Amino acid sequence: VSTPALAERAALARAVAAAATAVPGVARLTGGGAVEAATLYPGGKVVGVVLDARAVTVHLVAGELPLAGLVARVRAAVAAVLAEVGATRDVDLVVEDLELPALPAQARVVEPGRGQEARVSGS
Amino acid sequence: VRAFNRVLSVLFGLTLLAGGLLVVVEVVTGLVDAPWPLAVDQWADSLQQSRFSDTAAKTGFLVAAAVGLVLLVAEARPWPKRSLALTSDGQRSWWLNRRSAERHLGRLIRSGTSATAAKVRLKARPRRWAVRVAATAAPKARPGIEARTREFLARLGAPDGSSVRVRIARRRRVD
Repeated sequence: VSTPALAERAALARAVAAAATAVPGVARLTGGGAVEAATLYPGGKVVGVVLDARAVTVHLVAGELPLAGLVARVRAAVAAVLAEVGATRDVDLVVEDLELPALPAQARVVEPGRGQEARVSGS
Repeated sequence: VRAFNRVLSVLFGLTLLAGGLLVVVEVVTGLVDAPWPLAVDQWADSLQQSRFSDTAAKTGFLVAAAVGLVLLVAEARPWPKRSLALTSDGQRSWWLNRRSAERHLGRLIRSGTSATAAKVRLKARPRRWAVRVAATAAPKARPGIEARTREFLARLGAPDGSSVRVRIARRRRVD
């Protein structure tokens, strides 16, 4: 693989990472589990972004729910970056973890026998 | 499982490497007529004199068979998938780390209901999830736990019709 190709690859991975991280609700990108998900290039790596010939895969930690809307926004942001550079790849997303300041919103549930509605709050 | 497979691969590779190096050393020492660093002839004699009924031989076979059986079962059994596939509005799939979802749901149940402990297992079946919650709580907490679970699943984007089963273990009374 030629050096310009590696440089382009690194630049694309960095641009994808920046776009994904900038989406509100994304806590951060992550390498995931025991086998780190990252784009490696001479002198560095972009953690949380994996490029291959078919797709760009972004591994992220979500900072908000519901996830469907967040995923759609991240996918759109990454697709815009790919469109800018004329790269035609699918965008795959992996939500590796949730980092919620407060667990999902409060729900009201009734516990029989208490005689009143119990307020359930997230921590 | 991926990490387990990697450890096995490393051990297997190291064993092959050690065996290969041993053969190389033995061949080289044989070519230069030097005394062999490892007395292979003694090993061969010892092995030839061994009988199947010897305790050492039987122990060795049993241990090897047991290890092989454990590895076979570990590799062949259907381990839970690391990630759960999701789709929204007919769009392309995305994936959610299963353990993370289980951990957060357990925390949510512990913090939002009267349950003092909750263990959650998520399984991805075709077109729906199967959620199993084992909670330590009073029986009357069951509807609350189920409601919290369903609410969380909806926020994750779990498929409609996912099944939720709550198993309650009563708290021990301390007098």
